[in-house]
Amino acid sequence: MNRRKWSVRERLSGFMYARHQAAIEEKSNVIEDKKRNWKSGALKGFAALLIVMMAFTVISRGAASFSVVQVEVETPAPRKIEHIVRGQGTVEKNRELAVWTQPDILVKTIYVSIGETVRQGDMLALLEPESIEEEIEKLEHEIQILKLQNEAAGSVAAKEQQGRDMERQRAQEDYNRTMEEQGNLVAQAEEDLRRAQDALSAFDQRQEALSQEPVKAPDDVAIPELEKPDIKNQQDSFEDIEGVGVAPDAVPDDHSEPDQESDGEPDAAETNSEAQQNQAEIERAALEEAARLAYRAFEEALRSQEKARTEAARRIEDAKTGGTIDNTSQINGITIEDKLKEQHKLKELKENGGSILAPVDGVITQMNIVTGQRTTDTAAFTMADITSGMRYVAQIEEEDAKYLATGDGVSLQAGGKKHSDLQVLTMEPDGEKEMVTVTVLLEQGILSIGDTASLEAVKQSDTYPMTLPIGAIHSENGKNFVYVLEEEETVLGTQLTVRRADVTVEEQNGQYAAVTSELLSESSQVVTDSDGLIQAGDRVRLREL
Amino acid sequence: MEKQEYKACMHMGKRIQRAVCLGVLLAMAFLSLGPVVFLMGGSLMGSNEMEECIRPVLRGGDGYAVWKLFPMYPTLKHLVEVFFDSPEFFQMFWNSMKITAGTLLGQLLVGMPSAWGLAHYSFPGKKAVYMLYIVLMMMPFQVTMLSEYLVLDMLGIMDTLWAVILPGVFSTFSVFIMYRFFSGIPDAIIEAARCDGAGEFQIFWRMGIPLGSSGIISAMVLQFLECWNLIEQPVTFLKTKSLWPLSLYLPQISMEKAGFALCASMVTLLPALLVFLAGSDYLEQGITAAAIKE
Repeated sequence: MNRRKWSVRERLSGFMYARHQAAIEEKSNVIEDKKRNWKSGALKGFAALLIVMMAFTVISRGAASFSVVQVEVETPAPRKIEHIVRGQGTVEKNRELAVWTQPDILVKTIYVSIGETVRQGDMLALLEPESIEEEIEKLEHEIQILKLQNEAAGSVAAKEQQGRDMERQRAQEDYNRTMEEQGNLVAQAEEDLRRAQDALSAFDQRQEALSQEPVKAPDDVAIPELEKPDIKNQQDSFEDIEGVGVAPDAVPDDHSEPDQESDGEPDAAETNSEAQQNQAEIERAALEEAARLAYRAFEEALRSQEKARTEAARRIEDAKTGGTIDNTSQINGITIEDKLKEQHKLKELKENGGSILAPVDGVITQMNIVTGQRTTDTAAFTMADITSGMRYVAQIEEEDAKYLATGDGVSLQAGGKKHSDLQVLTMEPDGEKEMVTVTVLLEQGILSIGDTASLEAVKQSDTYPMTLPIGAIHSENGKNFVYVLEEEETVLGTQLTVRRADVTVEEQNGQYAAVTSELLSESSQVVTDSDGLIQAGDRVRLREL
Repeated sequence: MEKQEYKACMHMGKRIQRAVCLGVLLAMAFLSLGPVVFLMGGSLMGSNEMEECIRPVLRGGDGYAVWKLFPMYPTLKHLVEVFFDSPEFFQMFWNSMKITAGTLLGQLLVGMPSAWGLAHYSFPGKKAVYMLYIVLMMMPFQVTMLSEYLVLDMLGIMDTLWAVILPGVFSTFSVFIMYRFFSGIPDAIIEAARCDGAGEFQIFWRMGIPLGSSGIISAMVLQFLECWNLIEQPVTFLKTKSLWPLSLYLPQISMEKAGFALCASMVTLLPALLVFLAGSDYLEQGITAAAIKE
């Protein structure tokens, strides 16, 4: 067959086409290779992802196990709540007594010291005998001085008494004399008054006899019956007199006699009778005036008598009261007695050689004398009397005090030895420190004064059906609760979680608490301890043993 | 000259057209990829910053939620929390892996022979069976849920992983995909192999599987993506929480732990992403094969 020869252009374009095709093919191969690389890379990545996820599965479980809180659980058990009250204290003296001696005596020697135990009769200190002697002499002098003072005071008093007696006597005499004189004056005045009254009465009788009409005085003068001059009642009796003491003006100027009726006689007779009447009136007025004057004189005499009597009586009273009371001798007497007693004691001390002895078995707790110095008014020594027993005084917390009462049994522990069957004597609160002071009486032989001991008292309550360790109880906002273990289905399988259960604490001590709750049963597992903080709903696990 | 200008205008027009198409596709791609991008940014975002961004959504406050492509103060705290403080995440991850692997293996054992048989063998009722497969493929889970529940309960495998795996093993969709690929193998090759003395199993094993591998892989990839995101079957058949897959973990996370949820979501996404990248070609072929009408 004939093949047409290709032209140069045709050959060139064919070459280019082939090249182009080769380039396309190469490109697609590259793309295919890339795609293959992508795919293998993705597959490798997937495998790597699985390996990484496996590794992190293990790591996350391990990390979670670190974060999961481990807990200990316990079921509520019936038990009694025991309260142990503990305290620390020391043994003190039960009775303390003071050892006295005479003051102002020089101390020669002191044989004991504070805290030392002494027996009855032991010498505590020795006083200087010369000092005692000096004190005795001093007292003797003082007694003598007082006695002399008493003598002097006695004589002075006697003289004063004598003077007072004389004065009183004189006053009495003056009184008697005054009363006599005044009595005479009063009697005289009375007599004058009576005469004046008698004259007046006689005149009135005469006039009456003449006129056969009762003569009426312008004023009815009631003549009192004169009584014996009574100093007290004189004034009153004369106040009863009407018109007596009335001023002369009371006497009417006109001597009109309203009761007298004129008969209507002729003028000469009338003039004569009038003259007589006038004359009678004048006489009468004079008599009345005289009576009044006599009355006034009588009054005056009474007044002066009263005055004189009063003055004399006062003088008597003054004489009776006398001067100031002087008790110096009595005081001195008392002082002498005291000093004699003191002297007697000093003499006894001197006979004793100046020694101060222990009155009872005891422990010296205080010493108020110093060697070389004088004794004072305070006790020389203070001793704790061990024969009357000892007291143990301890302090306990105020919260614990409610479990202890007076009379409860306690035990003391000291020096490895335990003393039981002791009883609480008293319990007193110490408000400042919020503690309570407990006192226990100790018999002789149980411990010594100053020993320290620990007190222990155990009190048991009734049996509670549900008690838990105190570590299981939590509180929030005043409410108590516990955490109870529960099983829960989670993604990781059955896991332990905690739920909160509110409880009421009936009683508790430092170890256990008696609780009641509707959410708790005797088979509930309560979390008593954990190695981290837990909250309701948290995942937990039991502690590895 | 006019011809050249015409050619130049046509060229320009094509370019503009291409640019517009590209722009639209990019926008749609951004919308599709946006959640994944936000997911990545949110997994590195701190709790305070996240609270500020999505407070209107979480707390029901006023305003709109905002989001940042990259956080102001990135932190690996949530990542550490996922990988070190969440053992339940890994428990669920391996549950998902078990379910997926079991289903895929089961489908290889059961579905592959089924597809080969449907593709190259004639038997009475073949069309009916094929139609049945199509109908079952169309049915949603809710329709067959009760019957499945009864059967599984009767078998005594309720509340176990087999309750999810077994129904998945007998899934019809993968059989359909593999059937399309096996159907593409010429009968002449098979006849030739028969003539050469190859047995049916040999033909299937040495010729059918290699020649239909792309279909098999595409079916596996699709099934992986489906099994990895199973929700309904685990919710219905699995009561024990320790058997739940990862798809049930995320809804349990509260909104207060949004950062942790986003980080866990990102980690959950990774296996499916890698499988997709590895089998994207086959996936494309499988979707194409499924779309071709017979």
